[in-house]
Amino acid sequence: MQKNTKEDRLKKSITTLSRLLVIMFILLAVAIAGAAYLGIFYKPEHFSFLDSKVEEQESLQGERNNVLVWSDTSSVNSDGIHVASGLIVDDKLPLILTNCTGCHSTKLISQNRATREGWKSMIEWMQKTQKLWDLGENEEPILEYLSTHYAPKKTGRRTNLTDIEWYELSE
Amino acid sequence: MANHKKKIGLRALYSEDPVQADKIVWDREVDPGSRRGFLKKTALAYMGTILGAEIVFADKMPGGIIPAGLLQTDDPYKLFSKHKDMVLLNDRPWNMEAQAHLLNDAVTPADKYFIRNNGYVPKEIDITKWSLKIGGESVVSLKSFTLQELKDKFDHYTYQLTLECGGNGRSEFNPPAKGNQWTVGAVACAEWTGVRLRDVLEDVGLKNDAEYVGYYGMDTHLSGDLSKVVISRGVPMNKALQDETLLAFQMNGDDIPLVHGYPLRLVAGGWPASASGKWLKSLSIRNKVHDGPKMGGQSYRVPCEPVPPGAKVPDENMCIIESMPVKSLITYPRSGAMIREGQSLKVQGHAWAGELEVKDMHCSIDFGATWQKCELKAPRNRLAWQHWETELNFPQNGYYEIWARATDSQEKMQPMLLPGWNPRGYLNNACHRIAVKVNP
Repeated sequence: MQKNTKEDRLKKSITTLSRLLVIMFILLAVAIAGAAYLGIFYKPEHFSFLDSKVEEQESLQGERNNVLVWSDTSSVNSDGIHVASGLIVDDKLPLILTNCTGCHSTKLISQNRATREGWKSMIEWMQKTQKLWDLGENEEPILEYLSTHYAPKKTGRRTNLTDIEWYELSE
Repeated sequence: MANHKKKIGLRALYSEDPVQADKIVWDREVDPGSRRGFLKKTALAYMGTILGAEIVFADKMPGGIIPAGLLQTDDPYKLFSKHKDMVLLNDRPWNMEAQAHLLNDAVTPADKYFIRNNGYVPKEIDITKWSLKIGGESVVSLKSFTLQELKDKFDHYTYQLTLECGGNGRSEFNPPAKGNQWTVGAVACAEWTGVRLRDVLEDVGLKNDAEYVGYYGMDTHLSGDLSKVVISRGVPMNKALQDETLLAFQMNGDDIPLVHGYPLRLVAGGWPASASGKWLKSLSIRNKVHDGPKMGGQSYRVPCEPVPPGAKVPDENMCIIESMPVKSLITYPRSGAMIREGQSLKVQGHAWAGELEVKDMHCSIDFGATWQKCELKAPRNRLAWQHWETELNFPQNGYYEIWARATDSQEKMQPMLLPGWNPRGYLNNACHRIAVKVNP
């Protein structure tokens, strides 16, 4: 009697578990398909709802290897920096992530400074030698983003020393 | 039997050749036009399944086939055994520099040696299958050597050789130059052991028209296109034939770490480090200036004639960088030191001058108004950096900057301001300086 009950319980929990697994699998597949869809059919206007909301996440899905994709479960730090990419947040950031992170790190963007013309020549160089695709109508907003947020600073021929970490030197 | 394979971490492995990895693991092929999406829907479903079982999968299938998304915790400091104070400039490809105070050792240890990559680090090198092939227009006949043959056939030499990235100091140029924004730490002087390139070339036999030695390495292109050469530079024959120009198989007495060029690399001290190819697979002896990727255009070249800041310089007016200029670093103390009134301060560093020797070393505590001579040691061998030190006293309490200035054997000094602007921001040899406070 008792044995049967145990077996029944076991059967029941196995069934529940397998159902749960199927549901989880479907959810996962839907999430991935969604991410892939965004990757393929990306248009900036799809993301207009993000204009005032600033969030981030690094997606698992990249068409090459490490492409960062904007999603709505994301985080931005108090300086307005998108945490996953280290880039300044505005409505054009998703475009940058989609087009620029297939080949190189976002660190290559954030550590550089250039005018619009300078950024354009880098894009042309990447198209000529590094297999970057034609950016089409996205080129304008991309250039605007880069030349606004990563513009050269006028530093002269030598700057002051900054960010000095002072410490007592004991000999 | 020794372990013949060198391995690096999962992320670096996977990022090696993602296209191939995708094909092998997921049977995933992307749309050839957009390079996106999934051509086969089964692959998509499969990937979804596997992502839910990352541990099992990772255990069963090592070797560069892990979705990058699972590997965000991969740590270059662990991957390459680097000191925690090294500064990561770029993670694809890996580029990392030292800070001045990390470089205080007379001979730079591997954990403080800068990393400069143009492409992906080779993921796994099977030394039993490796050989160095030497060909090109100017060899009598093509020849190849296994590592053991190179070691057995030729005499070994050990030199301390200074290698500095051509773009070290780029971050200071104005207008800014594109590329990794190196500050001061893309320089090092390790002890390299290998055979002389000259001895090997003599054994191969060269024609009279030999002009340049170009290298090819095993690193792979960031685009994932395995047919694309990442970088193929080299040196002209006069540099190739110098005693100190090595095909090196050891760094500081050990096999060269993978990220620094295992199993064999060229070391041409005093020249932009990009001339010293890593992960060699072949050398091409050319009857003209080598024309591999990053030999021409704007890469590792500067205007043949000086130009105003921000100028556009056509490729044909750019000249290849050869010897690096005179330069020095203050490696002790670390910037920001506070000392007490009346205390003197010991200051130490290194100085180097490309093909030349450093003749004099000076320091200033008053922004160049007066200079005091430092004690400078002779180099261990030609092309090794030289160590210097001095003791400084301060006339009153307050904020000081210590500026260091080296002078080479041809009387050229480091400038206090940025040297001549150039489009890619090379050759910044302006004086290094640190901040010091004297407190009551």
